[in-house]
Amino acid sequence: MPLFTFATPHLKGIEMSQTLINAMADLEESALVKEVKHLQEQGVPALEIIQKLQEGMNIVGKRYEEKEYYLSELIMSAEIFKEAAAAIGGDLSAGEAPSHATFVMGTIYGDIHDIGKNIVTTVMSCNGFKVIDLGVDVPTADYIKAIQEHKPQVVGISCLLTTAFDGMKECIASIEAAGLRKDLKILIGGGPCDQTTADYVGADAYCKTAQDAVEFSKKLMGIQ
Amino acid sequence: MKSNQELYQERLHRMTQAVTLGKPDRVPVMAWIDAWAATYRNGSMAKLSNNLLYSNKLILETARDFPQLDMIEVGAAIPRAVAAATLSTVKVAGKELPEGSLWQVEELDHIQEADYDRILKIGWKAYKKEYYKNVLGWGGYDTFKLILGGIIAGRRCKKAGFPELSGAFPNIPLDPLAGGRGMAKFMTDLYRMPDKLKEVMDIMVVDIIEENKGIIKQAKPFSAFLGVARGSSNFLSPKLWNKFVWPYVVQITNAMVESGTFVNLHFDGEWNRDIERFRELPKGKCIWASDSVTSVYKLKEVLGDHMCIKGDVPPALLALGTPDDVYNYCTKLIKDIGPTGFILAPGCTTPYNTRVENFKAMIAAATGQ
Repeated sequence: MPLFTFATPHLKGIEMSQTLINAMADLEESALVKEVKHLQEQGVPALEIIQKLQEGMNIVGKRYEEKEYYLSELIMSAEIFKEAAAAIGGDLSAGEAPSHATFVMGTIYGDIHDIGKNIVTTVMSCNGFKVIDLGVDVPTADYIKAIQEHKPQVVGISCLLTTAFDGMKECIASIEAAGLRKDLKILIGGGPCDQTTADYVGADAYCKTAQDAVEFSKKLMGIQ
Repeated sequence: MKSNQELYQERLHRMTQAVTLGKPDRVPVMAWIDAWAATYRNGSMAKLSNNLLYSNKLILETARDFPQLDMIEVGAAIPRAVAAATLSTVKVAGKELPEGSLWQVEELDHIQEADYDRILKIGWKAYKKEYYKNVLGWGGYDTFKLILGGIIAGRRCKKAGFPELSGAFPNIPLDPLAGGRGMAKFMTDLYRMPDKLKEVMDIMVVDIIEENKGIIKQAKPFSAFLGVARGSSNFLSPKLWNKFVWPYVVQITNAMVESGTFVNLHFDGEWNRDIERFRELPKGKCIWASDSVTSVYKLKEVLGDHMCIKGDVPPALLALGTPDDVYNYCTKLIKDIGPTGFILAPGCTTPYNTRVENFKAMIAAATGQ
């Protein structure tokens, strides 16, 4: 009898988990679905499976940083992740999944663009952040209410119009005036933004890509 | 004093010299003026967004105040048509948005998987007609009005002495599909059904080329505007980009050049990874228009002897900077990227909230006045 059949159930679990992590990292959708089913049949808890998927997402993020992956792969990985999480009953938005921190995000008032915002919220949630998505055309009062209610560590404000810069500036000033800036970092991003914009509106950082938001937030929380 | 027609020819010559990598008397300076015309002329944004000829009037009134401009990108603002080109809907002032608001494109998931089969069955031209009518509420009469308005606007520009940079607007198949399907869904389609998408795009590109060749034959524009919005190098991995973007950029560019026009490669976003590939396009026939996200220095280094570079004054600088900031940025651009094969211009369109002094500073950097 070949030696490998003597592997303990624990070791089998480890192998399967590694298969799951690799499938997530390599964007192997069918292999991932198959592996999730195996783990479920073995009685592995949903949150444990999600943690393994997040480990795969960490590898996706690294490959993105190393320019092996691009936005297309970030989006595909997030799609696979969301579907797998839904299949095993883990609702990311309900806060059931373990999270590093809370991230509140919206597109500033006067601007209804949502593509960039949606990419960032999806990628952040797949990387273990609890995401509160405020939508588009978000007034300052809604940011303040969300900060008071959810006590996020990071807030993201997005825009695609240069005419929205003044809205971002007013919003950040109001958050500060409300005494909510102390333990909070504010990120901005979107097509026309750059470091000049971040300086003008008073943001803590400008994120060129969705992965920048992940990396900034992880660094802030001391996560490797 | 020179007549408008003399100025028209002088400006056209200066731009042609830049595009063909010759030696213009100075670096040309131009701008895409659309929404900013409403700001500058204190006009109605609602009217500008919905009335092509009104937008043309404001654009020309604005251009006349800056006679050192060598060209304007297009003679009218047509937000609904621009959105229609990517199968997207748009909200405009006076209709869905309050007066004074800039138009905003909405990408909704109108295209379903079954639509790919529909395109394969009836062809792109027929599908687009159906889509315009059923989804965008854009009928044959709207198209007729657009064409007629475009012809009138073009004649007015010529009469005023300002050449238009572009007069035909092909796009690679990826953009309308991504716009109509929604970017996230479309990108997952690229993974899940690559062969079908390739087949669909191969059908589409034939119709796109044929349609634009017809426009070029009739209108004889200075250039065809080939804008790629969702296919930039930082959006797609090389494997996807080589399959779904680049072959169509090459095919369309070559077809437009063969039709006798230059090609205005309006490539927003970051293209640094693939700049070298642009050497495959015909020399002295293209303009690489950068919105300041792609490195203009890398463009110069790799493509400087092959195609003209246009841009790349950042929108944030025009909206937030001081005239000195803008002047210094532009002067450095002219020194480093010019004097041949370079056109000074805002990256993409002139922002709605551009400070007038900053616009003047940009022009002064080129003209020395």
